[in-house]
Amino acid sequence: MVAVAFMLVAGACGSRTGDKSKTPTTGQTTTASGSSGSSGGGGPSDPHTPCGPGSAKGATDKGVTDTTIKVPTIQDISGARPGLFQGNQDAMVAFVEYCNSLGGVNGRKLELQKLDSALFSHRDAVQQACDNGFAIVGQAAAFDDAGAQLAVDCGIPEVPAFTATSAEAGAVNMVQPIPNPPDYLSVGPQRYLAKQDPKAIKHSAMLYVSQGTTKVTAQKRIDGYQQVGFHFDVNKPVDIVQVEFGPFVDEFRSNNIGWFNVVSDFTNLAGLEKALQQQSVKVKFPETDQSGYDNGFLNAAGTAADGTLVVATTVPFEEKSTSPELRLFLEWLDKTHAKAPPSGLGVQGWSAGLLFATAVKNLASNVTRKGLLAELKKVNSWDGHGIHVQSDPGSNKPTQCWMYLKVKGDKFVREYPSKGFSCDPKNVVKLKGNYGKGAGT
Amino acid sequence: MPLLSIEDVTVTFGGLHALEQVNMQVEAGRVGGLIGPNGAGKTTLFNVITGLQDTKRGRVTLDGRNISKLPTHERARRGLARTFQRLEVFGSLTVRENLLTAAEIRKSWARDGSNTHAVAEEVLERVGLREVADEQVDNLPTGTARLVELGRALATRPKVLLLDEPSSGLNEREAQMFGELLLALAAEGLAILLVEHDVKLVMTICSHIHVLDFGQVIASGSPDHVQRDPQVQAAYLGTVEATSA
Amino acid sequence: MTEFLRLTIYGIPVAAIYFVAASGLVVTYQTSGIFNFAHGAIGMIAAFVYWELRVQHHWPAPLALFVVIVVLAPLFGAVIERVLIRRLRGATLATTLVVTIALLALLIGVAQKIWKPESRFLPGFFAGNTFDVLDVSVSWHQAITVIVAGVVALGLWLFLRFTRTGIAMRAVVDDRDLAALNGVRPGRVASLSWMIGCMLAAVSGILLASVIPLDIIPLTLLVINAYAAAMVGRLRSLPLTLVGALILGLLSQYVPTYVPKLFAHNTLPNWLGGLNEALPVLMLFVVLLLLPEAKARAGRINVGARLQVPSLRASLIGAALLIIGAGFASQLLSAILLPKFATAIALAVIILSLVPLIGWAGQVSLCPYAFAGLGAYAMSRWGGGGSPVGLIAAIVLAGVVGALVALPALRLRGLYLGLITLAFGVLAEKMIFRQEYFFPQGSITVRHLDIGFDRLDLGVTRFNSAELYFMVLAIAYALVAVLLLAMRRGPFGRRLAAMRDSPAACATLGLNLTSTKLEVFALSAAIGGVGGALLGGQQVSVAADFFTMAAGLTIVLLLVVGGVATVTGALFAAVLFAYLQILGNDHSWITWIVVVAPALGAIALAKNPDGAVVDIANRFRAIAARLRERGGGIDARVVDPLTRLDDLPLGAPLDSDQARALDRVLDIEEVDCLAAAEH
Repeated sequence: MVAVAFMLVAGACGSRTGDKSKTPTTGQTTTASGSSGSSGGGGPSDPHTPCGPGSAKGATDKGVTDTTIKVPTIQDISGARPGLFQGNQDAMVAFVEYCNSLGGVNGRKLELQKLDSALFSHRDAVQQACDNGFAIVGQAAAFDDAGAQLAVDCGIPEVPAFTATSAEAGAVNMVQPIPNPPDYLSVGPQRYLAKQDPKAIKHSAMLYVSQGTTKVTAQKRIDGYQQVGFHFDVNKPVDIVQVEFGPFVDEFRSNNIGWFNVVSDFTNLAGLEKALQQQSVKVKFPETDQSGYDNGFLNAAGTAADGTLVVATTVPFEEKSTSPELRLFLEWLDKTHAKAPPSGLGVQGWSAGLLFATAVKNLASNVTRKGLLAELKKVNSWDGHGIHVQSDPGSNKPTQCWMYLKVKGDKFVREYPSKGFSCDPKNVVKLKGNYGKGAGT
Repeated sequence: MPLLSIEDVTVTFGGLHALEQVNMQVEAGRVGGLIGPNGAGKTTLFNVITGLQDTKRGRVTLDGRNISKLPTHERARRGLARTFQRLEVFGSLTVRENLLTAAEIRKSWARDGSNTHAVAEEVLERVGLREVADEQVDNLPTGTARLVELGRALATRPKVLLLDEPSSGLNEREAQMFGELLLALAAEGLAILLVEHDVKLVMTICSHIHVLDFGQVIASGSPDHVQRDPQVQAAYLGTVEATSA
Repeated sequence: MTEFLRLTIYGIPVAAIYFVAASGLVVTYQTSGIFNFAHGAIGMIAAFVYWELRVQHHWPAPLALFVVIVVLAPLFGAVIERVLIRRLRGATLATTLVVTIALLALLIGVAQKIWKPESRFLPGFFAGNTFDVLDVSVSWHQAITVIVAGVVALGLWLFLRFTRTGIAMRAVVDDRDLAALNGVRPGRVASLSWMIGCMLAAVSGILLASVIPLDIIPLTLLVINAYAAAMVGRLRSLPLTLVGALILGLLSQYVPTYVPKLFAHNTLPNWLGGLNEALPVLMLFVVLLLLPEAKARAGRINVGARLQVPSLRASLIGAALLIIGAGFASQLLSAILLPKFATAIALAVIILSLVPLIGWAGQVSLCPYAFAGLGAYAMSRWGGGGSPVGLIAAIVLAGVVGALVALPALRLRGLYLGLITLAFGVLAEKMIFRQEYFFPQGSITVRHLDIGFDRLDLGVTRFNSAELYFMVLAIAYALVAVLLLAMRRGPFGRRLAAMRDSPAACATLGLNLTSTKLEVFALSAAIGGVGGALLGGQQVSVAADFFTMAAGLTIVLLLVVGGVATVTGALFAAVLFAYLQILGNDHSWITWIVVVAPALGAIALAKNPDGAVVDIANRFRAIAARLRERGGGIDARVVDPLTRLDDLPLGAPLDSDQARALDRVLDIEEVDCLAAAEH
């Protein structure tokens, strides 16, 4: 579910930015400095950390030496949307520095190779990773389908922070912290609402930007939510930057809409909510995914944002006191001078790093690509050491867990459940439609 | 029967008459003159004839056929050629290429299998541009460039030639030679209509002169007749005559 | 019915914004003959400056508005008129368009440097205050928007009709192809028109920025929607522009509501998904189709291309050197850099497609990526496994579509060809490439062109598949360049140069301008298709979102940097650009070069229409000539010293004689401008 949210960012970035990007050929490879000073005392620590000293040895596979493992990470940094996934690069820098400060994994230091997919150079970046790196970790790329097949063909395992396209989300060489496969969907929040108010959700509205991933996301949601009782009276495209929401407001009013969702970046959500407020149309359940979990949204929508439900699958920053791992992440972002503010995306990136390191640790000395993938596929219960929902990365099934935040005043406040996440096996449904398939399947 | 005839042509610019009921004929083998003060509508009339300007009323007949509705290039293909008061040369090309291009354009619609290079060479010789044949036209003096326009027009083998102040920029000797060239062309059967400020040249080579003022033909006839017309003298010639006499 | 009324009420403020934007375009175009593609970017900058003053520095709104709209915007207008626009006298239409596009890119680049990406919002005027019209709640901001549009409409009307300055401005109306206007255009009037244009851009930018997020690209590009409104007024009539804006504003409300009702479940079918967003350009298309045919115009003073066309021998040697150089480069470049430069060469082929069109024929295309996208699609669809059939399909598909797109516009003036290609670029982006049929799931797979082997051992060195494809690209580029040059030296090439130098003369020689333009446009589109197919092969997985209209403008700008008329310039610009971007990742100041380069190129272009490379070449040639002490008999063209508009007393009412003198000037200049103003 969370990953789906990022597709919105990704989907919107392609053209809403309109590309003064010049040629999309920028890319960059630098390696982070191999090690840094020790973590020092005082901060939070992680008793289950996979990082630490050890005596692993051998150049067991590509990118692996006695003392280092070369870890490529791919993000959209330059291009039409400068700094789009900078936060995810920051997260990987933070994680690698953190891990190396403890001695690496089994004593091998992680050597981060930062690759810039620059929106349209994802495949080149994957090629780089294939040639030199051991595994791609913490990836965040809007057009991650471009290199998906190549990664499968060259046999490099991937542990992305999230996936944007079906090709990557279902790829055979990919294991991610919070899966988002093309054929299943998390519908926990919707099941909850269906119980709370079975009538309201009979009049639902889905607005989406009519473009690649956002359109697919909207279709998947309609498919899945209908299975738990939703009925969609309104199912319409919005402009990437919609100027006037009046017509949508009228339709909401005439259809007595009780739930809506805007698959777009949060500016369209803010515009819609302001228009609803102006025309005094109340919708019982205005819902957004994690793309709305952003102070920019609160700024943009003002009081109109009140009551908006935000689906969350990572521990909210407001509750960092409950998650030592989240505090650890924030501390290391700080220590490594992160360029972008912390985000849910970054949290997943940190979790991807942990997941990767955990699997490598289990391999002991014999660190191979094949071995890593097999080890990753064995992980059926994962919460990033308490930084997000419980998930099943190994079988690539969406999480059964979720929580709601709600906008109150100028804050995001926990709405449900009262603590932690709400989990139920019934929260995952198999989709009826065909939304593409993963690379290598 | 005149080769080119203009009947009742009226052009308005925002309610103002640029041309008003203009009638005029040009005959094969003759050089006709068209004179008048700046802004009298001479160039506008040329634009009407060649189809670069719409009319409010009136028609243009070429060789007995009404060409008023035809686009510019179709008129050209029926034998109409012109030069421009403000130069319209192909400035980035050489003189030879200017003529060659014109011959090639003609070949593309005439489909007569003519040897375009031969045509270009012939015209080069005819208008006396051989010495500057390989100069880029933008680098030529105005007078020479006007000859290029003439040559270009000739390369399409027209029946009617409209010349818009072709001699400006030429010195007296060149102008004289130019006049002789026009007479020779007319002698070969070409109908020529000449807009010219060089009154001496006009009076020498034209057999018939039309005087345009404020969009109207105020006089028409032989050079002598026109020169004596008091209206013309008042409107235009008086001062000029004083200087050229 | 109430629904209809409500939608109408929603639509009016939208129409008002479009009207203010369009009126600025019209005023600038009317009086300076230049269609300002940077209009939206100027509005965007104004909105950001206003935000900076109002939100960041807490200035009171009236003061901030005054400073931005009455002081800074006109100042900016005067400056760009002085620095850039005034140099464009005698430039081809293609040049003027490209220069304002470069200005657009510069402003966007500068804005991106100053205002880093973050969420910014500009509160509307009197935010939160509303009143009811019928049962629709209207915000004060919306009401103010409508009032502003009314004031602009009335003010402009009064100004242009009843003040001397306005009348003088109105006199200089209309025909862009008629660069003779430049001869009579008084600097004062042009300057004033740019000042007013920029003020109106600022007003529309600020109004818009309070409705949508304060974001650089959307603010800039939304103004393209207003083009359709301006075109309804045929870029001259303000009342008709108002009508156009109303149609556009109202359609933008009616269509999303009523069109889906034609389909099951009140849902647009997939293939119409981009309809709402493409609506303004669809309208632009239709309006352009309805315009009457334009006449070829005499009276332009074109500054001609001065570059020698290389001989066959020279072009073959150049091609051989390029291929050999590419051979070395493929072996020397790291595996990281090779794909970047390979992409650059593929882009160079797309840039090359514009050389015969813009550089040689003086025609315009603003949608090179639309044809490249079609080429990539054709290669993917029919070139399975990299078969050359795909390349042929790319040529045919792009060429045919190019001809179809251009056909309606070719009979019109050059500017309209620019606009219709812009519209097609948006249409391709929003409607065609989003079809599942073309780009299923938003991307397609394109194979390397199959050359029979995928590695090559020369003994001394080995070529792997990536290196071989790099060579394929270099050879393809060289081949296209050599063929284009051969064409340029022949009759067709001469005809293009002739058409560029003087369309009117060509017509009077019997040349059918429309069919000649069609031929060169189709040729250009076909080469663009080849470039797209080759680029696709380099990317392998090609995203539909790559081929956006705006990204395509980048290609046009690179053309400017390299020189519009040279085949080497395309490669030069693309490779330089790739290199600068690679460097820019390590040295951020280099990205400034990337931002500024197109603008510098444009300024050079305004001075010399053949681009910077040619400018430099000419300087060397001039120095060489001077060294050889060979003076050229250069004689500036004599422009008849006619009455100039400058001589007219602008400070007093025109009496009938002066009005007549004005008309005479215009007559001499062969302008039917007053006629246009009357319409």
